[in-house]
Amino acid sequence: MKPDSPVLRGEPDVGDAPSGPGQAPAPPGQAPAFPGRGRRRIAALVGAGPVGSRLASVFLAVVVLCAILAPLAAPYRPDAIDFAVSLSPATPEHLLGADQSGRDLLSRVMYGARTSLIGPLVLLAVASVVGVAIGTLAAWSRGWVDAVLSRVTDVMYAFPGLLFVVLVVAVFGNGMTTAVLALGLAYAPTIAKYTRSIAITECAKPYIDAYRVQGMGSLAICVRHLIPNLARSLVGYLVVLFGEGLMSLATLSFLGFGAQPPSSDWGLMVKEGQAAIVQGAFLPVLVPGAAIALVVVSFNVIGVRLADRLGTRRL
Amino acid sequence: MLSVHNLCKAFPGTVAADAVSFELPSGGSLGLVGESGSGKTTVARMLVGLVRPDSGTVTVDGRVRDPRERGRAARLRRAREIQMVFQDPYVSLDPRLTAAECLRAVLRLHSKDRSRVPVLLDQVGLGTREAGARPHQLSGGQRQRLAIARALAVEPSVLVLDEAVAALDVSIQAQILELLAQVRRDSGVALLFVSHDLAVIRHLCEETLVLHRGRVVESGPVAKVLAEPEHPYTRLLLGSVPRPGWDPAEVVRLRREMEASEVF
Amino acid sequence: MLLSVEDLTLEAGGRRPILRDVALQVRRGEIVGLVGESGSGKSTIARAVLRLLPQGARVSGRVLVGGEDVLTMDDARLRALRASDVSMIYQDPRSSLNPVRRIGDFLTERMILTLGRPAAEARSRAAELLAAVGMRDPERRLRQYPHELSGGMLQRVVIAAALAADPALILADEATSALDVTTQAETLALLRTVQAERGLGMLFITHDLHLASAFCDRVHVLYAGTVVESRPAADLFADPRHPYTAGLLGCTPELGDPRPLRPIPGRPPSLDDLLPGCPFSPRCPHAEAECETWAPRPVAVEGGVAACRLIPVAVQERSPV
Repeated sequence: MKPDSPVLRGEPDVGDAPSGPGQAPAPPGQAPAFPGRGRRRIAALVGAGPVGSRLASVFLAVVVLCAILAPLAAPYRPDAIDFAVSLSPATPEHLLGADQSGRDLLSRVMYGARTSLIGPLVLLAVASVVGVAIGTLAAWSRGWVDAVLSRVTDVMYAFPGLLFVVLVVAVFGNGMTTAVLALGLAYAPTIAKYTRSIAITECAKPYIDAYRVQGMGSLAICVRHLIPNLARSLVGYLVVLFGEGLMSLATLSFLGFGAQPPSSDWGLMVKEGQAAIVQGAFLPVLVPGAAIALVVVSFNVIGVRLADRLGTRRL
Repeated sequence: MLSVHNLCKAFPGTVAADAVSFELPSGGSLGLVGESGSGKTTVARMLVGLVRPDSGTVTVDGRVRDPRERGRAARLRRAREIQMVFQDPYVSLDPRLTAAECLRAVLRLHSKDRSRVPVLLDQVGLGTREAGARPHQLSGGQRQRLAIARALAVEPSVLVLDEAVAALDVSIQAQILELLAQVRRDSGVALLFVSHDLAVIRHLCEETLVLHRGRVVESGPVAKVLAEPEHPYTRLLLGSVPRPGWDPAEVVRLRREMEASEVF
Repeated sequence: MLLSVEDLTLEAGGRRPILRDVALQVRRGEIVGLVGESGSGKSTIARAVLRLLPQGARVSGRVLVGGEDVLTMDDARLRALRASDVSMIYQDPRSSLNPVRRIGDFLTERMILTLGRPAAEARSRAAELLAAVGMRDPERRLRQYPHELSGGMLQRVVIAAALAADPALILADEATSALDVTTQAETLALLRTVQAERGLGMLFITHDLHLASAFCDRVHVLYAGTVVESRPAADLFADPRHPYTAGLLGCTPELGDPRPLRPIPGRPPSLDDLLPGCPFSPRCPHAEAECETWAPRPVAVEGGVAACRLIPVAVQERSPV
């Protein structure tokens, strides 16, 4: 088993244990030996060129379809227990095997895609609303408003995000909603800083001056014209952040702060599958782990591609 | 009628405007000449309210423009007094909006009849094909035409043009100058033309104002100022314009003359 | 002949060639103007002299510098040519200088690295050069950074750097266009002094026909990659023979009594405009149907050539203006 997903960061011994039975190193063709910050290098290895990003887009489309169609397409209920097939390897009945309780891993991973994809989406929505608002306000007002907002975001930025979330969860209790909202706030400073930097460049362009000369109010200029013009750059950035958000949420679930059983969130699945590794069955960890890794890599590949296109193609 | 009285503005390290005063009658045309650092752009931006003067007043039709006066009505009224066309048409238009949308946004803001869009486009020589085009699909000249239409949509009393033809090709520049002259004839808008190019000012304006390091060094009817320049700096500027039989070394002498006059 | 461009045609992707059958000569001690609007290919010519060609360009013709063809010479010779025989001065001095290096480093780097001079000698030579381009206190200038100097001063530094290797030919690509008018005049005075003292040949590229005719000995007018008129500056200005030259003069405002401008209709052609005949015919007030298929070729006129089909007629009956 390889530590291909940083979800396993907390438990290195788990990663080392069963290099044993069958099957070639699982997920995609790339070397999976980069923990944590190496995700961008993984993206670089797959190649952010047209082929790579097309593959990534197709893969993500399949994942999204699976999530939407899970109730129709999944062969079993995600929580259907059948101890007869406990820890079953891949068989025609259970294409990706089954976990300790005999739950079908394919079905669970398909249903799990729902929480695992909606989670980062809500997270980013919260983070973008807060971050873009703060960043735009700072860039637009400059002066002391900018100074205050920038110092506040700097302090929040410097505070470890995961620690912040754990604190919030400790106060408000476990659960996906708390985790998503807390992570959203933790991501806001990153987005605020990015928004501020691109908004300052954009505000310096005379077309913004032209709106002011026309007599348009500051709020209208920012909401109707400035932010829409930042959208192109922001979307590219958010796509990369989506992968990171998914990873962070999975980490939280893995640590027990996010999704709670019997949910089939991928991070939680990895956590629950740990015990199976000792019994020589790696599929319960491998399947959700690979799902996380592949989705995150895909988002990175597309994000890098978007950033490249923004860099080379100027309007 | 635009009346500017004692405008002053200092930035850290430089004085951009030092007691600048002038008047521009309704329907008149005034050229503000100067080089970089003369403060001409700062003066233009103070007129439209993008830069707040340290002191001095700008009066349009007897009403003092006060940037501290807030609220939608005051903003829109100020906009109808003075509009501006910027230097570089590549960045002065919203990249997201088509030509027609750009004009429609202004008209809606000022609660004007939105069906005037084709009329405005036609007035600046743009057709239906350009109406649906975004700025990056337009040429430099077409963009500047659109920028002029956008300013005219508000029906301002004064139109400030900040180096509005400097970024254009020579043959396009002439088209825009003709357009501006025609717009002035048709709509009676007063033009304040900010430029470094004396020949362009000579062509378009009746009055001129020569700015040097934030101060007005000479002013008067264009023909007179250019024919009998009194200030050494005006002579230097004039001497710098290339013409047949021109000797650039002469400019070096004029510069020395001007520097000598500044000492005393 | 210092520089001789013969039948230079350059294609790179667009629907029309960037340059079409360009011919021009620069002699020692001569300033030759190259005038055109954006997209006319004037900078491409200057870059071709240093064999800096656009990607995937197909070139035919010859570019002879001192009798050697730049387009076919080997790489070592080309490096030597770029290092010492030909110097280029670009439009924006701020982007030609590294902002984090001192003026002195900028000037001496080339002398030390490519010409192999000892550092101390290079430094004193750099100071000499700065003095030669009229900068006071050169020793102090050598220690300054680009942001400490005005645009005009920086362009002097760039000119000094261009002179460092004692080139025979200078390519000035809009070298004064970014400067203020008075600074432009002073920089031109300097360029002319330097050029006359050293007997340099200069290819002076500009969009300003008035400037070219006031500063240059001969002027080539370029339109859509074609040289449409090529004559002594004074003749060109007084009696333009190609309708485009006449159009440019007619649409440029002058200081004298105002005369109505006659703008050239339309816009300069882009690389995607296919122009089978005379490239100017779509905008030309005198164009006839045949002009749209007539491949431009130089026709001898007083003092030079002009590429207009109507010229033989014009000489007898009417001026093409």
